[in-house]
Amino acid sequence: MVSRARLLVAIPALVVLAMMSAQTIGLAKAGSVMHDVSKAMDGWTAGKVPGVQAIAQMRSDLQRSTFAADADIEELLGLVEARSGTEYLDEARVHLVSALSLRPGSPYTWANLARIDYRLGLTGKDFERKLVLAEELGPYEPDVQRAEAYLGLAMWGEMGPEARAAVERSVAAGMRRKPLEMLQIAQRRGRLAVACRYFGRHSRLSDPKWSQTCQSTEVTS
Amino acid sequence: MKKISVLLALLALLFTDLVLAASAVTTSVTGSAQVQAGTSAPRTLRQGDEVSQGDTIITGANSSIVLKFDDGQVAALTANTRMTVTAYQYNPRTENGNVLLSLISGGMRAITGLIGRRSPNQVAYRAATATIGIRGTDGTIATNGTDVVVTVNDGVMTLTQGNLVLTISAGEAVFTRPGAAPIRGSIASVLSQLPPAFAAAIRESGALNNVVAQSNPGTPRQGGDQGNQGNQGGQGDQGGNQGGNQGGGTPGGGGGGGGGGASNR
Repeated sequence: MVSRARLLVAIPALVVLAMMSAQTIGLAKAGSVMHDVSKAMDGWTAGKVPGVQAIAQMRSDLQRSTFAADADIEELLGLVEARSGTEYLDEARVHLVSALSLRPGSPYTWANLARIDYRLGLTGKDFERKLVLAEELGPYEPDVQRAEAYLGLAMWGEMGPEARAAVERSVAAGMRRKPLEMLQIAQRRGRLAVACRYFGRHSRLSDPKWSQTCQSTEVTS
Repeated sequence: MKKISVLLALLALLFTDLVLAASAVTTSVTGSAQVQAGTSAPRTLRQGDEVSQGDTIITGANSSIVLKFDDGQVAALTANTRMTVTAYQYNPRTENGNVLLSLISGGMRAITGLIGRRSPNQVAYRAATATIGIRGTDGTIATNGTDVVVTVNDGVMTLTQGNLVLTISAGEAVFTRPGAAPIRGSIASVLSQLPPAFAAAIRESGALNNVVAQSNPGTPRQGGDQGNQGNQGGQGDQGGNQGGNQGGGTPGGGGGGGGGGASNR
């Protein structure tokens, strides 16, 4: 005969154990879904993106995979939604803001949110603040440098000095890391002069064509 | 079981639901321009921004914009113009696709790219109730929503409006308005008979020669653009490099990196 005292200990212990197991299974499931979604998203960078229906399926899988607030899932949801054209852009912003509330120190999340804001036309002081924060938190992160250059050089003529300085620091760092990439972004944005300022300060790009282009930019700017 | 269904769904989308991301990039903006995606609020369009199927481009007074599509097609919009990219799909591997640009009002010079060269019947422009097909490379269209003028600089264009079908050769122009016989002849002679707003739109498009030439019309746009899409991260350079590294190593040859996507971890 099991004593009452033992039952009093065993039942709560079993309940706790069951809850922990459920949580572990949930986490594993969430991890698995996140892994699958991340893997699928890798394929999108090759110039192909899924249709709206597939994105809706991914969203629903991600949403169902978690029962507690999770910065990774929130961010992944935001990024999946951002790929849907404008269909889920507002929701993408909500998820990235939520990811930031859980992980305010992530430069990637600030940069991703700045990207969504740009697409939504929200390019005021708050947008500039996001660029500044992303640069301050991740000055050496390649993805942050790209976002800073892509967004910052687009807004160059409209930004305040603090944001401009942050963008220029990112461009300078990007020019040290991967000058060709920075030059191409700057050229696309019609702001070659900003990148060309740092052209001679490294030796990783020796293409004489870029050298000539930067020299002519110096002359005309 | 659920995991299997999730995996199957992901596999299914990988193989069946991937669509080619085709688009255009603004290579030049003068004055003010906006883009409106579907029914969302218009936002400012800046140099280097991407434009996709379904977007409507709006230029302000004293403004112009040049768009270069992935296949090399160029559309230069003059002031006070509204144009919708009704359809644009392009497969760089097969160099096939389709283009339908709808000019709601204003003026547009259009120079065709690879799609137009390979499958001219897959390229069409709409202006008011007219549909303009191409058998050539370079023409200008202007409309106020009812009247339409088409001038052809190179190749041949066909204008279809109700029962009316006109073939317009290089150096010729046609002006149609509802209830009146079309005016056709040399570009100069038709221009002299146009209402001032139409003549201005055609002249403005001519003045865009330099910026149009700088966009290198007819040659496909290099470098995929993931710039404003945002990439899922944790892969270091991978995301944003897609555009940058494929853009070619020479000045003017690339679409630029597109800024990549900031990653999430």
